[in-house]
Amino acid sequence: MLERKGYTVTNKKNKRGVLVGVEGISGAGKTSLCNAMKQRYEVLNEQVLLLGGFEVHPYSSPITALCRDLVTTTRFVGLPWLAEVHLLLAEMLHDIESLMIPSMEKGEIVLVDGYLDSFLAYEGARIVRHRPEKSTLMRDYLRQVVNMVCSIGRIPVCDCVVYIECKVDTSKARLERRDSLAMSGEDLALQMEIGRQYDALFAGRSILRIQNDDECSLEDNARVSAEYVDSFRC
Amino acid sequence: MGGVFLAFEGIDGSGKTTLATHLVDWLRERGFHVVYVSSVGYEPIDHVTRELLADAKTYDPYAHLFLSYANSRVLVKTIIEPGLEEDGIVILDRYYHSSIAYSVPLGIPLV
Repeated sequence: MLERKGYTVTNKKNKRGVLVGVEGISGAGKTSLCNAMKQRYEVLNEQVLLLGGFEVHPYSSPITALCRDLVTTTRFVGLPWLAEVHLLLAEMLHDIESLMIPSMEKGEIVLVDGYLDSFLAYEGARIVRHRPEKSTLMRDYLRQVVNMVCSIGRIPVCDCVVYIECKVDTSKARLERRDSLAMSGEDLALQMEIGRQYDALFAGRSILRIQNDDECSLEDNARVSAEYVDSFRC
Repeated sequence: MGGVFLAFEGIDGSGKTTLATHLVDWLRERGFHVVYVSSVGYEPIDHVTRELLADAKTYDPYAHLFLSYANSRVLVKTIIEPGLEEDGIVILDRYYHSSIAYSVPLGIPLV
Protein backbone atom coordinates (compact mmCIF):
# COMPACT_ATOMS: atom_id res chain seq x y z
CA MET A 1 0.00 0.00 0.00
CA LEU A 2 2.74 2.42 0.92
CA GLU A 3 5.74 3.47 -1.05
CA ARG A 4 8.50 2.50 1.30
CA LYS A 5 11.60 3.72 -0.46
CA GLY A 6 11.61 6.99 1.46
CA TYR A 7 12.02 5.53 4.85
CA THR A 8 14.19 2.55 4.05
CA VAL A 9 17.05 5.01 3.59
CA THR A 10 16.46 6.55 7.01
CA ASN A 11 16.36 3.11 8.54
CA LYS A 12 19.75 2.09 7.22
CA LYS A 13 21.28 5.23 8.60
CA ASN A 14 20.02 4.31 12.06
CA LYS A 15 20.61 0.59 11.96
CA ARG A 16 22.34 0.38 15.31
CA GLY A 17 19.01 0.83 17.05
CA VAL A 18 15.86 -1.14 16.46
CA LEU A 19 12.42 0.27 15.84
CA VAL A 20 9.50 -1.90 16.88
CA GLY A 21 5.85 -1.23 16.14
CA VAL A 22 3.44 -2.81 18.61
CA GLU A 23 0.03 -2.90 16.97
CA GLY A 24 -3.51 -3.99 17.78
CA ILE A 25 -7.01 -2.67 18.37
CA SER A 26 -7.67 -0.40 21.36
CA GLY A 27 -7.57 -2.43 24.55
CA ALA A 28 -5.65 -5.29 22.92
CA GLY A 29 -2.85 -4.93 25.45
CA LYS A 30 -0.27 -2.93 23.49
CA THR A 31 0.73 -0.73 26.44
CA SER A 32 0.97 -3.70 28.82
CA LEU A 33 3.14 -5.60 26.35
CA CYS A 34 5.40 -2.58 25.78
CA ASN A 35 5.86 -2.11 29.52
CA ALA A 36 6.57 -5.82 30.04
CA MET A 37 9.13 -5.81 27.20
CA LYS A 38 10.75 -2.67 28.60
CA GLN A 39 11.10 -4.28 32.03
CA ARG A 40 12.56 -7.38 30.45
CA TYR A 41 15.18 -5.38 28.54
CA GLU A 42 16.04 -3.15 31.48
CA VAL A 43 17.00 -6.22 33.53
CA LEU A 44 19.62 -6.76 30.83
CA ASN A 45 20.74 -3.11 31.02
CA GLU A 46 19.28 -2.40 27.59
CA GLN A 47 17.93 1.10 27.08
CA VAL A 48 14.35 1.21 25.82
CA LEU A 49 12.33 4.21 24.70
CA LEU A 50 8.54 3.91 24.79
CA LEU A 51 6.57 6.10 22.40
CA GLY A 52 2.93 6.40 21.42
CA GLY A 53 0.23 4.65 23.32
CA PHE A 54 -1.96 5.74 26.13
CA GLU A 55 0.59 6.77 28.73
CA VAL A 56 2.07 10.25 28.99
CA HIS A 57 5.71 10.07 30.05
CA PRO A 58 7.89 12.85 31.48
CA TYR A 59 9.55 13.12 28.05
CA SER A 60 6.27 13.12 26.11
CA SER A 61 5.49 16.19 24.03
CA PRO A 62 2.56 18.52 24.73
CA ILE A 63 0.97 17.14 21.55
CA THR A 64 0.94 13.65 23.06
CA ALA A 65 -0.65 14.98 26.24
CA LEU A 66 -3.37 16.70 24.20
CA CYS A 67 -4.04 13.60 22.07
CA ARG A 68 -4.30 11.38 25.14
CA ASP A 69 -6.66 13.85 26.77
CA LEU A 70 -8.86 13.89 23.67
CA VAL A 71 -8.91 10.08 23.57
CA THR A 72 -9.89 9.60 27.19
CA THR A 73 -12.48 12.36 27.34
CA THR A 74 -14.10 12.16 23.91
CA ARG A 75 -12.35 9.45 21.83
CA PHE A 76 -11.88 12.33 19.38
CA VAL A 77 -15.63 12.61 18.85
CA GLY A 78 -16.47 16.18 17.85
CA LEU A 79 -13.05 16.90 16.38
CA PRO A 80 -13.11 17.12 12.57
CA TRP A 81 -11.54 14.07 10.95
CA LEU A 82 -8.85 16.06 9.14
CA ALA A 83 -7.98 17.84 12.39
CA GLU A 84 -7.52 14.46 14.08
CA VAL A 85 -5.39 13.17 11.19
CA HIS A 86 -3.06 16.18 11.24
CA LEU A 87 -2.88 16.29 15.01
CA LEU A 88 -1.78 12.64 15.15
CA LEU A 89 0.75 13.20 12.36
CA ALA A 90 2.09 16.25 14.22
CA GLU A 91 2.57 14.08 17.30
CA MET A 92 4.35 11.41 15.27
CA LEU A 93 6.60 13.87 13.46
CA HIS A 94 7.56 15.63 16.67
CA ASP A 95 8.41 12.37 18.46
CA ILE A 96 10.43 11.03 15.53
CA GLU A 97 12.67 14.05 15.33
CA SER A 98 13.13 14.83 19.01
CA LEU A 99 13.02 11.36 20.59
CA MET A 100 13.01 8.40 18.19
CA ILE A 101 15.95 9.17 15.92
CA PRO A 102 18.30 10.32 18.74
CA SER A 103 17.44 7.15 20.67
CA MET A 104 18.04 4.88 17.69
CA GLU A 105 21.33 6.58 16.96
CA LYS A 106 22.42 5.60 20.47
CA GLY A 107 21.58 1.98 19.65
CA GLU A 108 18.51 1.85 21.86
CA ILE A 109 15.35 -0.16 21.40
CA VAL A 110 12.39 2.00 20.47
CA LEU A 111 8.99 0.48 21.16
CA VAL A 112 6.15 2.40 19.54
CA ASP A 113 2.77 1.62 21.03
CA GLY A 114 0.72 2.08 17.86
CA TYR A 115 2.80 3.39 14.96
CA LEU A 116 2.10 4.05 11.31
CA ASP A 117 0.05 0.87 10.80
CA SER A 118 -2.17 1.88 13.71
CA PHE A 119 -2.61 5.32 12.25
CA LEU A 120 -3.68 3.88 8.90
CA ALA A 121 -5.89 1.18 10.44
CA TYR A 122 -7.67 3.51 12.87
CA GLU A 123 -8.19 6.37 10.44
CA GLY A 124 -9.13 3.98 7.63
CA ALA A 125 -11.74 2.44 9.92
CA ARG A 126 -13.14 5.86 10.85
CA ILE A 127 -13.61 6.62 7.16
CA VAL A 128 -15.43 3.35 6.53
CA ARG A 129 -17.69 3.73 9.56
CA HIS A 130 -18.38 7.46 9.56
CA ARG A 131 -17.98 8.75 6.01
CA PRO A 132 -18.65 5.87 3.61
CA GLU A 133 -19.98 8.28 0.98
CA LYS A 134 -16.58 9.99 0.80
CA SER A 135 -14.45 6.95 1.47
CA THR A 136 -12.55 6.96 -1.84
CA LEU A 137 -11.60 10.63 -1.57
CA MET A 138 -10.65 10.41 2.11
CA ARG A 139 -8.64 7.21 1.73
CA ASP A 140 -6.77 8.78 -1.16
CA TYR A 141 -6.01 11.79 1.00
CA LEU A 142 -4.83 9.59 3.87
CA ARG A 143 -2.57 7.59 1.56
CA GLN A 144 -1.16 10.73 -0.05
CA VAL A 145 -0.43 12.55 3.19
CA VAL A 146 1.32 9.49 4.64
CA ASN A 147 3.33 8.95 1.46
CA MET A 148 4.23 12.63 1.48
CA VAL A 149 5.69 12.60 4.98
CA CYS A 150 7.42 9.28 4.27
CA SER A 151 8.92 10.46 1.01
CA ILE A 152 10.62 13.39 2.68
CA GLY A 153 12.28 10.91 5.01
CA ARG A 154 10.51 11.90 8.18
CA ILE A 155 9.01 8.56 9.15
CA PRO A 156 11.42 5.65 9.61
CA VAL A 157 9.98 2.23 8.82
CA CYS A 158 9.70 -0.31 11.62
CA ASP A 159 12.36 -3.00 11.73
CA CYS A 160 9.68 -5.34 12.98
CA VAL A 161 6.02 -5.35 13.95
CA VAL A 162 4.33 -7.23 16.78
CA TYR A 163 0.59 -7.50 16.25
CA ILE A 164 -1.59 -8.41 19.23
CA GLU A 165 -4.71 -10.25 18.16
CA CYS A 166 -7.57 -9.72 20.58
CA LYS A 167 -11.32 -10.28 20.56
CA VAL A 168 -13.44 -7.14 20.57
CA ASP A 169 -15.36 -8.28 23.67
CA THR A 170 -12.11 -8.66 25.60
CA SER A 171 -10.88 -5.23 24.55
CA LYS A 172 -14.24 -3.66 25.46
CA ALA A 173 -13.94 -4.65 29.11
CA ARG A 174 -10.40 -3.26 29.28
CA LEU A 175 -11.29 0.02 27.62
CA GLU A 176 -14.26 0.62 29.88
CA ARG A 177 -11.99 0.13 32.89
CA ARG A 178 -9.35 2.46 31.40
CA ASP A 179 -11.48 5.34 30.12
CA SER A 180 -14.26 7.31 31.65
CA LEU A 181 -16.48 6.43 28.67
CA ALA A 182 -18.70 3.44 28.04
CA MET A 183 -18.29 1.58 24.75
CA SER A 184 -21.26 2.10 22.46
CA GLY A 185 -22.39 -0.23 19.71
CA GLU A 186 -20.73 2.09 17.23
CA ASP A 187 -17.46 1.97 19.20
CA LEU A 188 -17.54 -1.82 18.98
CA ALA A 189 -18.29 -1.74 15.25
CA LEU A 190 -15.36 0.66 14.82
CA GLN A 191 -13.09 -1.73 16.72
CA MET A 192 -14.10 -4.58 14.42
CA GLU A 193 -13.42 -2.42 11.38
CA ILE A 194 -10.00 -1.48 12.75
CA GLY A 195 -9.26 -5.21 12.98
CA ARG A 196 -10.25 -5.63 9.33
CA GLN A 197 -8.04 -2.70 8.34
CA TYR A 198 -5.09 -4.30 10.14
CA ASP A 199 -5.73 -7.58 8.33
CA ALA A 200 -5.57 -5.74 5.01
CA LEU A 201 -2.41 -3.83 5.99
CA PHE A 202 -0.58 -6.93 7.22
CA ALA A 203 -1.59 -9.24 4.38
CA GLY A 204 1.59 -10.67 2.89
CA ARG A 205 3.87 -8.90 5.37
CA SER A 206 6.22 -10.65 7.73
CA ILE A 207 5.12 -9.74 11.26
CA LEU A 208 4.84 -11.47 14.63
CA ARG A 209 1.25 -12.24 15.64
CA ILE A 210 0.56 -12.96 19.29
CA GLN A 211 -2.70 -13.67 21.10
CA ASN A 212 -3.93 -11.82 24.14
CA ASP A 213 -6.29 -14.20 25.87
CA ASP A 214 -6.44 -16.36 28.99
CA GLU A 215 -4.16 -18.98 27.49
CA CYS A 216 -1.22 -16.60 26.91
CA SER A 217 0.45 -14.90 29.85
CA LEU A 218 1.87 -11.41 29.49
CA GLU A 219 5.29 -12.73 30.45
CA ASP A 220 5.17 -15.35 27.70
CA ASN A 221 4.06 -12.77 25.15
CA ALA A 222 6.83 -10.39 26.25
CA ARG A 223 9.41 -13.17 25.98
CA VAL A 224 8.29 -14.27 22.52
CA SER A 225 8.15 -10.65 21.33
CA ALA A 226 11.60 -9.82 22.73
CA GLU A 227 13.09 -12.88 21.05
CA TYR A 228 11.52 -11.77 17.78
CA VAL A 229 12.88 -8.23 18.19
CA ASP A 230 16.35 -9.57 19.05
CA SER A 231 16.46 -11.41 15.74
CA PHE A 232 16.39 -8.01 13.99
CA ARG A 233 19.19 -6.41 16.01
CA CYS A 234 22.57 -5.86 14.47
CA MET B 1 -24.16 28.01 1.44
CA GLY B 2 -24.21 31.80 1.02
CA GLY B 3 -22.06 34.39 2.70
CA VAL B 4 -18.66 35.84 1.91
CA PHE B 5 -15.34 34.50 3.09
CA LEU B 6 -12.39 36.90 3.28
CA ALA B 7 -8.89 36.33 4.65
CA PHE B 8 -6.27 38.99 5.36
CA GLU B 9 -2.70 37.90 4.76
CA GLY B 10 0.64 39.66 5.13
CA ILE B 11 3.89 39.66 7.05
CA ASP B 12 3.97 40.52 10.75
CA GLY B 13 3.29 44.21 11.30
CA SER B 14 1.83 44.78 7.86
CA GLY B 15 -1.50 45.93 9.29
CA LYS B 16 -3.76 42.92 8.87
CA THR B 17 -5.45 43.18 12.25
CA THR B 18 -5.93 46.95 11.99
CA LEU B 19 -7.48 46.69 8.55
CA ALA B 20 -9.59 43.64 9.41
CA THR B 21 -11.05 45.13 12.58
CA HIS B 22 -11.83 48.41 10.77
CA LEU B 23 -13.65 46.47 8.08
CA VAL B 24 -15.52 44.40 10.67
CA ASP B 25 -16.70 47.58 12.47
CA TRP B 26 -17.66 49.24 9.18
CA LEU B 27 -19.72 46.24 8.05
CA ARG B 28 -21.40 45.75 11.43
CA GLU B 29 -22.38 49.44 11.54
CA ARG B 30 -24.21 48.81 8.27
CA GLY B 31 -26.10 45.85 9.64
CA PHE B 32 -24.12 42.97 8.18
CA HIS B 33 -23.70 39.74 10.10
CA VAL B 34 -19.94 39.45 10.47
CA VAL B 35 -17.92 36.61 11.96
CA TYR B 36 -14.40 37.76 12.75
CA VAL B 37 -11.70 35.19 13.50
CA SER B 38 -8.39 36.47 14.82
CA SER B 39 -5.19 34.42 14.64
CA VAL B 40 -6.31 32.48 17.68
CA GLY B 41 -7.81 29.13 16.74
CA TYR B 42 -8.82 26.07 18.74
CA GLU B 43 -7.50 26.84 22.21
CA PRO B 44 -6.13 23.35 23.13
CA ILE B 45 -4.09 23.28 19.90
CA ASP B 46 -3.05 26.92 20.29
CA HIS B 47 -1.86 26.13 23.80
CA VAL B 48 0.26 23.21 22.55
CA THR B 49 1.64 25.33 19.71
CA ARG B 50 2.74 28.02 22.17
CA GLU B 51 4.43 25.41 24.37
CA LEU B 52 6.34 23.98 21.40
CA LEU B 53 7.41 27.40 20.16
CA ALA B 54 8.79 28.19 23.61
CA ASP B 55 11.23 25.27 23.49
CA ALA B 56 13.73 25.79 20.68
CA LYS B 57 15.49 22.47 21.45
CA THR B 58 12.53 20.31 20.53
CA TYR B 59 10.79 22.61 18.08
CA ASP B 60 9.96 20.82 14.85
CA PRO B 61 8.70 22.83 11.87
CA TYR B 62 6.88 19.87 10.32
CA ALA B 63 5.01 19.13 13.55
CA HIS B 64 4.20 22.83 13.76
CA LEU B 65 2.85 22.83 10.21
CA PHE B 66 0.63 19.81 10.84
CA LEU B 67 -0.64 21.37 14.05
CA SER B 68 -1.60 24.49 12.13
CA TYR B 69 -3.47 22.32 9.57
CA ALA B 70 -5.34 20.63 12.42
CA ASN B 71 -6.17 24.02 13.88
CA SER B 72 -7.40 25.35 10.54
CA ARG B 73 -9.67 22.36 10.13
CA VAL B 74 -11.32 22.96 13.51
CA LEU B 75 -11.85 26.60 12.55
CA VAL B 76 -13.43 25.62 9.25
CA LYS B 77 -15.86 23.19 10.83
CA THR B 78 -16.77 25.13 13.96
CA ILE B 79 -16.70 28.78 12.87
CA ILE B 80 -16.20 29.36 9.15
CA GLU B 81 -18.75 26.93 7.70
CA PRO B 82 -21.47 27.77 10.27
CA GLY B 83 -20.87 31.49 9.62
CA LEU B 84 -21.23 31.06 5.87
CA GLU B 85 -24.33 28.89 6.30
CA GLU B 86 -25.90 31.82 8.15
CA ASP B 87 -25.09 33.99 5.10
CA GLY B 88 -22.57 35.90 7.17
CA ILE B 89 -19.37 37.64 6.18
CA VAL B 90 -16.52 35.59 7.63
CA ILE B 91 -13.27 37.53 8.01
CA LEU B 92 -10.05 35.81 9.02
CA ASP B 93 -6.88 37.43 10.27
CA ARG B 94 -4.56 34.89 8.60
CA TYR B 95 -5.53 31.57 7.00
CA TYR B 96 -3.64 28.63 5.54
CA HIS B 97 -1.66 30.88 3.18
CA SER B 98 0.28 32.10 6.22
CA SER B 99 1.01 28.53 7.30
CA ILE B 100 2.54 27.83 3.91
CA ALA B 101 4.42 31.13 3.61
CA TYR B 102 5.85 30.95 7.12
CA SER B 103 6.90 27.31 6.67
CA VAL B 104 9.50 28.11 4.03
CA PRO B 105 11.86 30.14 6.28
CA LEU B 106 11.40 27.44 8.94
CA GLY B 107 13.02 24.94 6.58
CA ILE B 108 10.06 23.29 4.86
CA PRO B 109 10.26 23.34 1.07
CA LEU B 110 7.13 24.29 -0.84
CA VAL B 111 7.69 21.48 -3.33
